[in-house]
Amino acid sequence: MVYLNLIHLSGLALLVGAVLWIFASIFHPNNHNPSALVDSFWTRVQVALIFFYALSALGVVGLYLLLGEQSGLLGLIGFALAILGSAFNVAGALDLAYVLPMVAKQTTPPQSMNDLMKLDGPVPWVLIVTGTYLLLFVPGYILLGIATLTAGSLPNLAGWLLIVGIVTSVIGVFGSAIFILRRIGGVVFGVGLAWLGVSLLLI
Amino acid sequence: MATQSFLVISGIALTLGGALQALASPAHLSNRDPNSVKSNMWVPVAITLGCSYLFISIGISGVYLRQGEQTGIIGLIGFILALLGSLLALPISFITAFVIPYVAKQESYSKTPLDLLGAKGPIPGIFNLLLGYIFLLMPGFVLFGIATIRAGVFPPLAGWLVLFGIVISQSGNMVLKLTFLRNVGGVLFGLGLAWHGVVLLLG
Repeated sequence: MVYLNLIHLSGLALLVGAVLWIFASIFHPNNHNPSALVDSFWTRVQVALIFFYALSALGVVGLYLLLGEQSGLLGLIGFALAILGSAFNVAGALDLAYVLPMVAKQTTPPQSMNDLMKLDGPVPWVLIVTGTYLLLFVPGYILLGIATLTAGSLPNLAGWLLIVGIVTSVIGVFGSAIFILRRIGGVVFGVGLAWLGVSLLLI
Repeated sequence: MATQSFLVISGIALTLGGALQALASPAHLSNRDPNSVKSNMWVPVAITLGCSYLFISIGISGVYLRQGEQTGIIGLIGFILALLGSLLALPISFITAFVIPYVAKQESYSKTPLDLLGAKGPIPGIFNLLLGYIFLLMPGFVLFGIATIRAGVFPPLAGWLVLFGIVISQSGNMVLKLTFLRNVGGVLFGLGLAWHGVVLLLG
């Protein structure tokens, strides 16, 4: 009963989180643009991401409980990375939402988010926290996607959407001209998460 | 199998999280003293507490899984509030470690950490999140403690430690002359959580 409660709760968290993530992905201003930090959508998008990461930390618990037995070590490592990445990125998104816009207002000429977080920029410590997105969150969800494929107890296509979505979205972060991939990949990843959330809710 | 390994992971996380909380709390400086930010202990204590909340947010799912059957709705509500409160406490700790010293350097005269993060400070958005943290963390862990005491799965004294610890420490946070209560309460809170973690580990 408690086991099912936790799985349903995790499913709901993944579903709501996925909706927030999709919203954030569609409206996320281009990181490379110096005016992104003063864009009216910037803080709203980052606040949506704060709640997404918090919900994701709960959501992966249910995923692991369901997949763990069949996914073995791969699932365990994926779970550990994804939950740590989610928790750290609550802090990362908070910094991006409130601290970077404040710092951006003090710099002339305007600098992009990436410039502000450089090691010789005014707030290099933000990079330490947001760096956990690439080091923990992304590999964690790739492994959870693979675990979904190998376990077979959740829809395979949802696992593929997680993997393809997060990889595409990360590629998009590395160039201003290809930032559209951040949005498209984000939506694909969000649909995969929502699908897994619904699957957990229906168990 | 997955449930068992999840309980072990939760046990390790909660033991670590509780121990770090108990270790860092005696050195916690007053949020209402303008000189606190200048102390050499400010950053290490805040980072340690941030890591403590990270581990606590991972570990308490295991406690819910273990005693949820017996604790019913109180346990469920306590778990959700405590989880969200811990996840929010994590970024607040990182803000305390990095943002407050950064902002303090820019002020023309010494301000208390609470003034720097307050509604009239340079980053007013963070104040709303601080309020959210207070309204989630304390009620969450009060219910968490009550659930432990009533369920009889974990030692009731561990529940009392969490319950008294969080109430005393949060009271100490609110009054300048009672800062020592923050320190004492933090130790009790940490010991109570670490005790839960050890019980989870021992099966």
